[in-house]
Amino acid sequence: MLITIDPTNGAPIFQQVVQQVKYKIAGGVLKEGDQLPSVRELAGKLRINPNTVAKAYAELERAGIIVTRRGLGCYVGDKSVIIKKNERLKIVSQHIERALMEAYHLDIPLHEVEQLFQQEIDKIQKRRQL
Amino acid sequence: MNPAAIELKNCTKTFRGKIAVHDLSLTVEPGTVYGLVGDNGAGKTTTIKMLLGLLPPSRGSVSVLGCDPQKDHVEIMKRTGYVSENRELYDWMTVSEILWFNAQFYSTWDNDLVQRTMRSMELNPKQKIKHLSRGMRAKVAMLLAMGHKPDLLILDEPSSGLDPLVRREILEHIIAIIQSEGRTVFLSSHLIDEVERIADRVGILCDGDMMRDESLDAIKETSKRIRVAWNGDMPDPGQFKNVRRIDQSGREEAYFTQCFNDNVLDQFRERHPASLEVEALGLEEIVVETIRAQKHFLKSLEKVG
Repeated sequence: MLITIDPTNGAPIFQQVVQQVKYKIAGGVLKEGDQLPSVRELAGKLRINPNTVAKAYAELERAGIIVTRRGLGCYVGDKSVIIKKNERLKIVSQHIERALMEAYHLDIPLHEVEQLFQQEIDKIQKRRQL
Repeated sequence: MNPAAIELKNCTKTFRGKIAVHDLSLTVEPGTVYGLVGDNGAGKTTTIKMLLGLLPPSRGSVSVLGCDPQKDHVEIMKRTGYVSENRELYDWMTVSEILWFNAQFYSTWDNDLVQRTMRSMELNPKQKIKHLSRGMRAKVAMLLAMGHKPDLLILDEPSSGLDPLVRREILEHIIAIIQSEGRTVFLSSHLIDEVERIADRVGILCDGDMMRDESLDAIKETSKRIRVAWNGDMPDPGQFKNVRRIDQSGREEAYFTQCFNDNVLDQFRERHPASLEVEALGLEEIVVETIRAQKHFLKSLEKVG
């Protein structure tokens, strides 16, 4: 599992770890049943405090995203399917928000953006039918 | 319940009437990493010297691993590893000589661990200390501080003046030490991204006074930059409570707060700004703004006084 931490980012480091694990699951990089690196291993790799990694894992476990099998390690849990959907929606809505910002600055009215969006949807659907 | 690894209570240290550290209290729980940050002359090294019993506090009490550093100096040195800012070493010895020499003082010296670490640090045991590069010296100092497997590691600017590669290596060793259960690390540094990576709790010192002493996450959650833009007249920045204006350009302003909550934001909202944004800050910016705010506050006191 490759994770990048930016300690100067305002978000607490444990949250950055939580976010990235969530994204990896959402993106299908981590799948149900996959093993996560141990706290020790990840802390060493990221050069961060092991307590921080433990805190991130605890948070992921509380959210049901990962499960700890005693003596074996942490694994991606089966509830991840639900999380996956939510996280996916979140990622997409962020992209849509960015597109809307761009549209505002390029002076494209919202109803035209809506039409554009529909056009794109139609395009994808047509492609799928072929 | 284990006693705290470090406990300072209302410690003041004066040098010839000049205050170096003022009424300092802090607690470091066993198994955690405490990062002490602040500008030069803030009192970081003075604090560390009080922990080691190298300086007696003028007032207040110090307890390290349950001992009084003034009375039980030897006991504390046995159970503590210390890397000083200047990394003083016997220049005329070779690496293996200085390690052997140091080992004689400790019954807990782990020679296997030291040899293994020395190899992983790519240190040449036959080389004389005086011929070592700055980075190599730092590694030797680190080895000497950890060879007896101390319960508490105290590091004064562990990586100042080192290149990024050596800094990384030193940081990895610090993390390896935290990994061994129950070990406590107390470090001072002005390389704040380092502290940000490894500290559980952070203390910000300014002119001998402790400005913040909280978990790193709590500091980040309460320290924010507020960006606001106004439509018409600019309100007087002095009327907003618990914030300090740090920047202004045209109709835009930036404020810094150390106690972010809804009340802080509401006082801006009530004046119907054109836009209002809250930005999260990295520790470095938080430290800089906290120290600036304090210096500004001290100056304003001088004017009044």
